Amino acid sequence: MQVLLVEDEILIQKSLKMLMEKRGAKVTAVSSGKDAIEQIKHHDFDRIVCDLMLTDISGFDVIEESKHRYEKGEIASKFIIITAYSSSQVIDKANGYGCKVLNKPFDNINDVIETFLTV
Amino acid sequence: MENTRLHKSKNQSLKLFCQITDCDQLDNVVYVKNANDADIVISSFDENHLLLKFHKHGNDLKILKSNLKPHIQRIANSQSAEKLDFKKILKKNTIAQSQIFSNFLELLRMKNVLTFIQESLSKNLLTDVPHIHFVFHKKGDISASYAEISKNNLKLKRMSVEEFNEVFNTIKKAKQTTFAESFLKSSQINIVGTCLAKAASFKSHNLILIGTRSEFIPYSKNHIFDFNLFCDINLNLFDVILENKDQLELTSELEAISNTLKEYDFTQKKINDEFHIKRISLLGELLNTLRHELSNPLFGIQLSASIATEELVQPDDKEMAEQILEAIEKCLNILNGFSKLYNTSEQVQSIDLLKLIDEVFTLTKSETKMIRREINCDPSLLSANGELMIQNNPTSLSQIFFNLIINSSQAMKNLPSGEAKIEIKISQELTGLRVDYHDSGPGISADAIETIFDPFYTTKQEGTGLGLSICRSLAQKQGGDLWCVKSDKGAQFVLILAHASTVS
Repeated sequence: MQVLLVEDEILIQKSLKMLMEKRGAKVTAVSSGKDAIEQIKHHDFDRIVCDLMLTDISGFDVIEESKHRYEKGEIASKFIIITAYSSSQVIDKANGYGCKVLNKPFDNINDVIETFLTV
Repeated sequence: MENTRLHKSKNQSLKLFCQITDCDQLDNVVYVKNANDADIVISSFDENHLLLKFHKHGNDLKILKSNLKPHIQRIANSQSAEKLDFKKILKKNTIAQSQIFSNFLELLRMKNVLTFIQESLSKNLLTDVPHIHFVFHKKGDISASYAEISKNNLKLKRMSVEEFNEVFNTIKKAKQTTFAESFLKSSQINIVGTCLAKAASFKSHNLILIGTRSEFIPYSKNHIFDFNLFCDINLNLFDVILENKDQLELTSELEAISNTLKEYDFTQKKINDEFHIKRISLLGELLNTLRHELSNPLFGIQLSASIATEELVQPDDKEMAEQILEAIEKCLNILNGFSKLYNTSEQVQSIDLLKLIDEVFTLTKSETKMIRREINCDPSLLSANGELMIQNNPTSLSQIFFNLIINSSQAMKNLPSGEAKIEIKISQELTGLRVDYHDSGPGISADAIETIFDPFYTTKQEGTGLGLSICRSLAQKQGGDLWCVKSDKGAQFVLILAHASTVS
């Protein structure tokens, strides 16, 4: 399974990558939205786990940019938004794309990894 | 020749004054008298000399003698009057009012506006204003009196009405309180640097008060506020006192002044409440940002530490990783405690009262760690999992408990360890949920039980005196109430949370 992980907090990125790889996933990890867009252009991912508040652009911008490549239904099934700044607006917007939102810090990390790797 | 005679007459008048009055008691008293036939100012005299005295018409002592008696009579009357009329009005005091009354009684005691100002200067009532220029013009008089006052000095001069009017109008027309020295150039008022000035017109006098510190540095907002407050409260009184009315008139005028100042009191309170609420919401924003900024990196540390505990083989390394995890747990718990406490929304939510109280204790940990706490709750109110769910505004509720707990912890600071205790009892009442709050501190005296809820009431040097007043209004806003109960031991409060019990 090919996973793109977009997360700028380096310890979170490394840990999530490790945990997913332990379960046999192939994980590409990037820290910025621009790098994420670049990856999406050139590779095909089964799952894109994307932080919302990135240092350059927002996770929603990454989704917007992916529209060239993926159908609406694909966006909904591929993307999972992770955020520490969950608000009703964020949830509404994510619902608009049809994708899941998970709040950081995660209550149960194993469940979360399970969710990441279940398409 | 003329001078010697005048000097002699001064001494004589003083002697006379001292003969009729009780000199011991009236030591250093300044006495202003304004009669139709003579205008006499005796200022700060002692046994040996009279600092100032002047005759408008240059009349001799016989007039003085005949006119002094009724005034001395008034001094005697005023002392008994203090105990009667003024006390009565004082009971319904608000802040500005009580300030007026205490100022007024002080003025009555001193019998002179000038000494009062001087006294205020030496008590540093006016921040950074060491010199006051006070000019008063009795309407209809051909000249005004001008006093230059500092802590140790008092000079009196006359000023022509024309000159007075010019200065008066300049200040009165200006919208600001701060002035440059140049505006007084043509006048005999001598000022260096920037000054604060206020002009006011009353029934019988026009008054100018100028404060200066002989510096060019502009005054801060606080200085200007203090000065304005001083003027607003006192200038009214000066008018009444300078008029030298009898007691009955004074009482009624005083009441009138205090009524007009009620409004001032109200706006003052409103401003302060607003500031407090602004500060609280600013604090809330800060805490929220802090929480967000910290929780993300903390989460990263938590994740990597938990991976490390699993990966590491050496027992020592493993233990250290576990300890890192524990420390992070603690940090995350504290951060989560903020979440509900300073939620800016006004919304009523479903909250667990017990958890909320617990969070407030966590937040006040540095103050409350030495305090034993006992929280008892009517078991019928609890849900199956031990929660006490209520519908209320968590921000308001936290603030109320926060204030009570901080007050208690400060009051119990000096108790020997083990004796400090806060007891909270929660029970159901007809009107709602009743929270009995009880500490083991020195308690609140019976006559302070109501006044502690007055705005600005405080026994702390650093306090604003707004805590409990705001708490009560917060409780009432939610349809509840907060009051203090007479208690033999410690302070005891009752908090009612109306329609609170909606156990889910």
